[in-house]
Amino acid sequence: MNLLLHSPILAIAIPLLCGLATPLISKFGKNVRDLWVTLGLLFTEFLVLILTYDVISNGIRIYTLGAKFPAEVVLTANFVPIRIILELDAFSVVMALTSVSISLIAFIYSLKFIKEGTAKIRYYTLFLLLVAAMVGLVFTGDLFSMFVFLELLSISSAALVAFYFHKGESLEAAFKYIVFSAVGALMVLLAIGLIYGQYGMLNIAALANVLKFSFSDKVALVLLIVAFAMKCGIVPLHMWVSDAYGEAPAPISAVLVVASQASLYVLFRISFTLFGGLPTIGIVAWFIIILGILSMVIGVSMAIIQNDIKRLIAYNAVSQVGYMLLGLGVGLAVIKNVTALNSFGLVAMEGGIFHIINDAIIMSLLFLTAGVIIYKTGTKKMDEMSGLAYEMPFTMVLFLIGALALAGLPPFNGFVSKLLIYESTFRFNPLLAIIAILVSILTLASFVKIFYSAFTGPRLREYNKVRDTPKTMLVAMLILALLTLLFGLFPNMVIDNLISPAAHALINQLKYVGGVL
Amino acid sequence: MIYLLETGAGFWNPLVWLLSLFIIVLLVYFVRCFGEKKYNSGIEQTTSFYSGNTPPNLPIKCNNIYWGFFKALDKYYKVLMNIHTGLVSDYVSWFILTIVLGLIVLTIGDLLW
Repeated sequence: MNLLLHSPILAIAIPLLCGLATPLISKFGKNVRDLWVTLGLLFTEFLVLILTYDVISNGIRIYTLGAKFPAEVVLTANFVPIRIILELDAFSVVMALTSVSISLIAFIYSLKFIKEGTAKIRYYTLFLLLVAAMVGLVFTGDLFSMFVFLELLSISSAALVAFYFHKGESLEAAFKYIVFSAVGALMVLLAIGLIYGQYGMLNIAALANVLKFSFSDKVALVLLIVAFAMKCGIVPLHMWVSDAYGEAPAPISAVLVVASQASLYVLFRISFTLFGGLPTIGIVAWFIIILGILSMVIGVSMAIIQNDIKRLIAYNAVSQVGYMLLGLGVGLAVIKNVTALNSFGLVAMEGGIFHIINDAIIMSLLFLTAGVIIYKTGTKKMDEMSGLAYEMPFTMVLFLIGALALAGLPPFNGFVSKLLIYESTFRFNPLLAIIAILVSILTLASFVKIFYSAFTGPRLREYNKVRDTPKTMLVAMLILALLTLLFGLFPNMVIDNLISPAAHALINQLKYVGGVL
Repeated sequence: MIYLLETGAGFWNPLVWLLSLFIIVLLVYFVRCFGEKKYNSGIEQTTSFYSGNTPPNLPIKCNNIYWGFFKALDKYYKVLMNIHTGLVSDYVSWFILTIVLGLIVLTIGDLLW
């Protein structure tokens, strides 16, 4: 079997099958189970890595399920592509690489963080299903498969949020998340119905070629944008984020960040590729930009007032999504103006995409350090913490790296992506750049609150003999901290090899359409 | 050059930044060397004055941080708190409201186009 040829579907099938087989494999002992899940995730990472290399070097990859040759597109007489088609461009492989890498790091952390017992089997199964859903969501080339993977993502995420089901708060958070997700999924299904009713096809590339932008198309566009905006926690649809991220186990909070970003990918795929030809796309872009600004301001305002360490980080996650929307929204606003696009639009998009990767790394680092604090102290309330720097100096340094990076301070990766966004957005509309800078200052203030209340101050007697942090948890955090520093010191390596091809793939609608037709 | 990032309007070189930081740290250390030699930590001269009494060993609680900031923005935070009810029915209402808003924006955009 040619591994590269079948790697797009294997990257979805391996975590899916590994997840479903985990309860059975667990019968052979916990070491075999851990090895099974580790190998499954490592193999998925390997597949996504070779796919990234292949797509960045050779261009779009197509994989048609059930076709004689996977790279062949089966067309009917009217040039309508049939069967499930996976379409991989630079943007989708970059997103898949981010999702799988963060999941792998979160899994390393989970090895000791999650206590042994039957619950751990359930945890691993759902974890792998979530990974499969994320990869499927960014690889799929048709709307209905997208809906299926969205549902898989919502169900597995909700079950993982409710992992500590003996606590009422976790169940409440999962309930809110699943209800909200179900309403969103219904809207996605309604939008797909509206599109399918008119054109009789579901393939994104083929639809982008024939879309007439009728009123029902525009209704479908709004339904899709709002539903996926909800899934990535954009204001005013962000209320589930603080509950879900706050109550989920720390490594799941990290994976939920990349799961939200997979939804963000779909939002941009729909806006740029499917509806990129809409005459009033500039208005859609401004709608996205305004949602981004609201997310930044309200997210950070709510973060700074929190006394629960994980909820504070969760609201910052809402705020950071705003930067991604701002960067990519500015690119969408000038997509039909070649001069502006080349002058600052493309840089804004590169900033937005780079911030997606950076945010995934930094937020994961912050959630994992918060997890260590909770693991050691047994509380999430910052009022009950003090002087933890005496007991956990290593965690404090890692937390500081994450906090400074998220606030956009040099020489960390968050600074580079934010710099690209500030400079390009300033040339589009100076007010937007000023708001973005002010939000960064408030972000720093919110993390100073954690640093001051948790790490400084007098040593509390009850934390004098806190448990040691397991090595796997330290290693996971250390990898993320190193990536934060490396991406900040060598930004060009990432931008030239991953970000720039991803931004070009997103604006080049014709290339995506040409991949199928 | 892998260190130099061109942003379209300028550039960023982390090596230059790190070098500047190193020079600043050296300068700070140089100035510090002129400091008071008789300084001793852990004696009364380093503790805060608390009306002649021993300062209590109590941390400043998280709730009290940025008190003035929240007081100044009291009205803004009241509005924010009223929005964040925690009720899932309210979440769905916001969802529907955003869809309606999106449709209005797109329709008006069409009319103005």
